[in-house]
Amino acid sequence: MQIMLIAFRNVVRQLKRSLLLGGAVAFGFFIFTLINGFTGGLINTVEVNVADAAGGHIYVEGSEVSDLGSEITVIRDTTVVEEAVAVLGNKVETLSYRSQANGTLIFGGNEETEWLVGVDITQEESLLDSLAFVEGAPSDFLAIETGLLLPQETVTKLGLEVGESVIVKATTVNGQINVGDFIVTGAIQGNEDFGFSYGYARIEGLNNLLDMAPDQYQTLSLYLNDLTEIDSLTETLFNEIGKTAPTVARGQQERGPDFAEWFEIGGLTTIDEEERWGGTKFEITNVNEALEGLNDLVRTMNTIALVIFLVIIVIIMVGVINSYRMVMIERTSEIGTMRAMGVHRAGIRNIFIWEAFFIAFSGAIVGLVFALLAMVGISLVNFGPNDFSFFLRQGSINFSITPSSTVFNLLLICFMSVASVLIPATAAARLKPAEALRATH
Amino acid sequence: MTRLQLINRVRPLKKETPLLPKIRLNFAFTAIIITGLLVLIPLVYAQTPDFEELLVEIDNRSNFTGDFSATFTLESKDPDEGTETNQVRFFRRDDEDKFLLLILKPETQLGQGYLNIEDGLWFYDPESRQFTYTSLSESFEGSDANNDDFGASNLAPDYDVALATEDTLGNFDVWILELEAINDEVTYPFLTIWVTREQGLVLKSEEYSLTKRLLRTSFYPSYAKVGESFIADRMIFVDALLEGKMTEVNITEITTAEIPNNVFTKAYVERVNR
Repeated sequence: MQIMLIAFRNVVRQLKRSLLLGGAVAFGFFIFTLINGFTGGLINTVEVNVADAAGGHIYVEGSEVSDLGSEITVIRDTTVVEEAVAVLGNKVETLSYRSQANGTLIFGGNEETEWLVGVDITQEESLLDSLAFVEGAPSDFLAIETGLLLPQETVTKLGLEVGESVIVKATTVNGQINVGDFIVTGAIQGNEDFGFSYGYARIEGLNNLLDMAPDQYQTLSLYLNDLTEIDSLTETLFNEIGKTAPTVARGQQERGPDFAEWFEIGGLTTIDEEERWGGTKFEITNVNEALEGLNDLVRTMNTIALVIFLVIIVIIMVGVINSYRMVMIERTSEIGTMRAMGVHRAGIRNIFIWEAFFIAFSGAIVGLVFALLAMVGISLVNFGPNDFSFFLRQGSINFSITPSSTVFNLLLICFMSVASVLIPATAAARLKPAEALRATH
Repeated sequence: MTRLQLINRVRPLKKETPLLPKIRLNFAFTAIIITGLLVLIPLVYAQTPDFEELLVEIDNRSNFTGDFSATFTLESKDPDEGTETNQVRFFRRDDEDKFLLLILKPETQLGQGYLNIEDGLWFYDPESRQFTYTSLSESFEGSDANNDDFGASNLAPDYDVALATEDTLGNFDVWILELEAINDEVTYPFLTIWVTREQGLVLKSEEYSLTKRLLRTSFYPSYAKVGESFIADRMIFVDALLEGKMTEVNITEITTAEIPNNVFTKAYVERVNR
């Protein structure tokens, strides 16, 4: 205890040096914590945005085989799915029923291709809150059965204005060409740069275009209460549906979840006679599988951040070693005095170690505080609708750090500082008292 | 009242009245009419074709029993984007419902191909060296021609004749047939075709959506006789939804020489691009 007090007093006594060393540690910890917080928040934000965009965390898709052997994506018999979903009970917050089509929008001599998602807006009211409206209002979309929400870029390219009618050409679920008239009720901020841009239609209007009954759909999305249970509940749902209907084996899907395959252009797939099935075959996937690519990116970013952090630590360590070598030379007579007064070698060594620990610990705490303040400040900035909206939560950057990783990083930096001072501290402890007292530095 | 008077009251005497000659005359007239109809109706019916059979004839006349190759030149006009020209080498085998389109022009698309085989229609990109599944109902290279315009004619198995009328189109006497698809998977659920009465060739076609909205008008103003079959060597597709947008297809270098079997394989398409 006395050694700790002596070390603490030494740190305070040499304030300038302590501030310089501690400042370097604080800077390194600030950068590392900020990057970690950014990547953690990024994955959370994208997960939420993807879940909002796709209508949930778990996705159930159904397909049938037509009389001519073509695979048709539609869920007509909803009983199987509803009974299976009922098993999950209150773990499911909401259900989203959706259809989708690769449509050609035609207006005033111009045409643009746009992926359209038909949503049951009575089940997905939160969707409208998550969209960044550039023009129009959610209420207009709610009021018109043939309403369309289109990315601003598409609206501009077509020369459309909100409230105008546009022709939509698409193929039905059976592969026939059909056209319908829709009303543009809003322009939203798209995310074309990240491949997630599409328009929204009311499911009733889109089903009519796709030659589907109003109560039919192509994808059922489940929005869960607890995101930690995504994988386990996916397995449960898969097993329940598998009891009464054919399913695509987990891990053997040829394509990713809906929004990954949505952007493929293709016609009906012909199923070989020996592989055909009766009724509806179901495929169950979840958002984690869809975000595998992004998770890899975030892991890479975290790895890069860790490497940067370690580089900073090494630089700090070199600084600490050099500084304490200087400290040892300057305080040689002090060391001699302490040794002459009966302080053991271990005590001398431990004084320096505790000094390094206090400098590193306080520097890391300061760095953490500044990082937290920076995170709060940056998260208050609203960037509005822009090309990076998909990575923002309602226009702002979201940060997320976990206490366990923060404590680990803090202990790591303390350990590295202690390790860096170990050699000069041991050398100082080995000084002979008489020689130390004679030193004239 | 005498017995005779009573009988006459119950059963009036048949008397020759002025009305009777009229009845006999009407009866004769009616008999003549009925006889005439019985003679004429079969004659008239004999001149009205079986339209379902006509569809079969149209298919037979348009399809080839052997192989068919040609060069197709497509000129697509778009009011905004101007004129774009594609040239493709086309191989077709109707007996097996296969075809291969290899793009020759423009240079940027040289080597791209569309291969229709048993498991469907595939698009090949030589840059990525990948085959992508596509659809016969998709437009060919953004033009007004669809991929299935290059395949065999399948009017008879896919459509019923809902209505048939007579008319003329230019100098030709034609049947106007309104067709309805009999399955859900044909590209156009409703068609109206103008077929020459003499040769059974389609001169014009209007293609409608499921909601009976006109999507496209196709003109076949010129045919070439190839063996026993006829091929429209000039086709014009006019987009009904986008004013001014149209595609003209001209077919040249027609040959019915046998095509090696390996041409209709993915391996061949890849090899051509090496």
